[in-house]
Amino acid sequence: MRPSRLTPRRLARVLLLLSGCLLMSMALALAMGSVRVPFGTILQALSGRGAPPEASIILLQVRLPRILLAALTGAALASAGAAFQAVLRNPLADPYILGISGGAALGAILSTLTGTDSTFGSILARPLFAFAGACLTVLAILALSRSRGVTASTPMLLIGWIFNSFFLALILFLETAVDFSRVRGAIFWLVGTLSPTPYSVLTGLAAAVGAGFTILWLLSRDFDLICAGEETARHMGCNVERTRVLAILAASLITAAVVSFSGLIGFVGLIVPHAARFLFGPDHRLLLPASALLGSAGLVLADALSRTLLAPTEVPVGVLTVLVGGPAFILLYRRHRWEISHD
Amino acid sequence: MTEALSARHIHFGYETRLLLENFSLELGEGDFACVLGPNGAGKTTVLRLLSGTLSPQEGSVQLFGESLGALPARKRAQLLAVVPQESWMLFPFTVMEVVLMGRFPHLGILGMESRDDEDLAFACLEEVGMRSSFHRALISLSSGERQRVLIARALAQEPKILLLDEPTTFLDLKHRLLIYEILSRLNARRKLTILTISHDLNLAARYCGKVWLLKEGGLLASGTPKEVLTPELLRQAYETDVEVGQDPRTGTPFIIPYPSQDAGGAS
Repeated sequence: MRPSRLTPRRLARVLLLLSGCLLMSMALALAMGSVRVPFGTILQALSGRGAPPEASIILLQVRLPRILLAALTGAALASAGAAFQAVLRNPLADPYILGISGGAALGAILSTLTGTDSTFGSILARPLFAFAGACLTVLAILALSRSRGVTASTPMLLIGWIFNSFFLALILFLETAVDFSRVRGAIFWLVGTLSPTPYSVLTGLAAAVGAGFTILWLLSRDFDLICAGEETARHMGCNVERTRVLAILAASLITAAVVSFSGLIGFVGLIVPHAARFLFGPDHRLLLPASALLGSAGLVLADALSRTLLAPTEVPVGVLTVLVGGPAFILLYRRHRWEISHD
Repeated sequence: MTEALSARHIHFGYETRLLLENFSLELGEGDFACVLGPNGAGKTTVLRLLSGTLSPQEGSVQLFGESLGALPARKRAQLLAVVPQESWMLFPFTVMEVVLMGRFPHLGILGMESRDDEDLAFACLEEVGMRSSFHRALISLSSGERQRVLIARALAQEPKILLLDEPTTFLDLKHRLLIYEILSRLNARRKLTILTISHDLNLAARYCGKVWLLKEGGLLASGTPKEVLTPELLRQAYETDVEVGQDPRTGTPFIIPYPSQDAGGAS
């Protein structure tokens, strides 16, 4: 049985434990690959002393940047999912189902197809277009699902899901129309693939994800109150409208940032917050960082598997998150089902 | 007596329908009062106006002499707590977690609760007789137990005024009495000012010192239960024949409804 309330001590203990898990999964992922690298060499390479040059290149130029991208992507999607589930008061919400990831991907693809990617600010154009795509999608969904000043979450999910399907079809259509040989490349966007990314991009990505996450975490107590009902949250002194707008913007920002470099990785945003809730309880002050760390470690491991399972062929990581995450979630769900459906 | 919460000359309506016209209500400090009236008479609207969820189109609502709309949300929540009718909660928060949410207006960003806050939450649970269930998930409790926990959460805000929206609607006989016993004790011991919205004429008659009876468009009558709960006024408000007797133990009125003779019902 979990403790009856969250204390600073428990918060610190759980986050420390999960950080340890993340570090271990990263170390494991560094060691895994077509070339086996012993842990001793990994430590040497990371500290910059005495590792053989070819091992250093494999570890620091190929594997580490990809692992960091996986870690950032997992953290961003999982915390965005936890935030959406709270502010929309719906356990089914996540950036993928709401069509926000799809909108971001469409924005990113348009920046590539129109050539802005290479002419203007190059590396910044794609995430900016993705953020614009995500924000426009959110605005459209909000406008369509709002009636008489109230946002109902069921129409919102329905409209989001239609948007998502529409965007996926549009992405395939555009890629096919431009050049049929690119259809294979479209898979990158549709299921999500991680690839080595320059450190300069990773730094920018980390800054965006860090900023968005900080905003979400600062709002985490308001999320708890909103779970009790919007009007009730207001009665307890929460500014529901401001919380919701800030949360949706921050969650869209981090979603767009990671989608523009890793494509549409579904499932993480939906399932990781539920798993974290089963394990550590629903208090968002713990749930948000716990989801981020859990999503991070999970995606790092999934990516390591995607590189090694059918080596030298790579399985897209988005395929593995669903293949492994699905059954794992069902196992957890069987033990906690009353927590989701309790009527 | 100091005035705790008041509504003056309120006009409120939606596009097509005027709900309240020139409606006024004064709640004194230490009052235990009740707003009664048939469905659609605007009881819930009154509660929403008094709690600041809705703003009147004309007139003003004042909380201890200050305009309710001008008060910051947290400041308002330190003075005024609301117990909602709906006790459903997204995700399996424990009873302790739910009650600690009431501390929100008193704490800063992230609002980690201290030992003192926990002690206060236990004391609030004690008031409603739910202390031993502090570790259970709210959604695993019966609706009567949930309602008591929500009262404890409101008490954790340490308010001066408690508003309750039909607190006994979904409850059995035992819990209906229990809720009013708890409220009555809070009113007597803590000098908490209490206003309930209710359909339960008999409980209001027994426990409340002051009642307001609404009918479409506004106030029909106000005063002590004896003054307001008369056959004439109740017939006007509810379009139902009633017999008003006297409770042999407490001397307060009790009401028995009969199908109306001229309503053209099942006859």
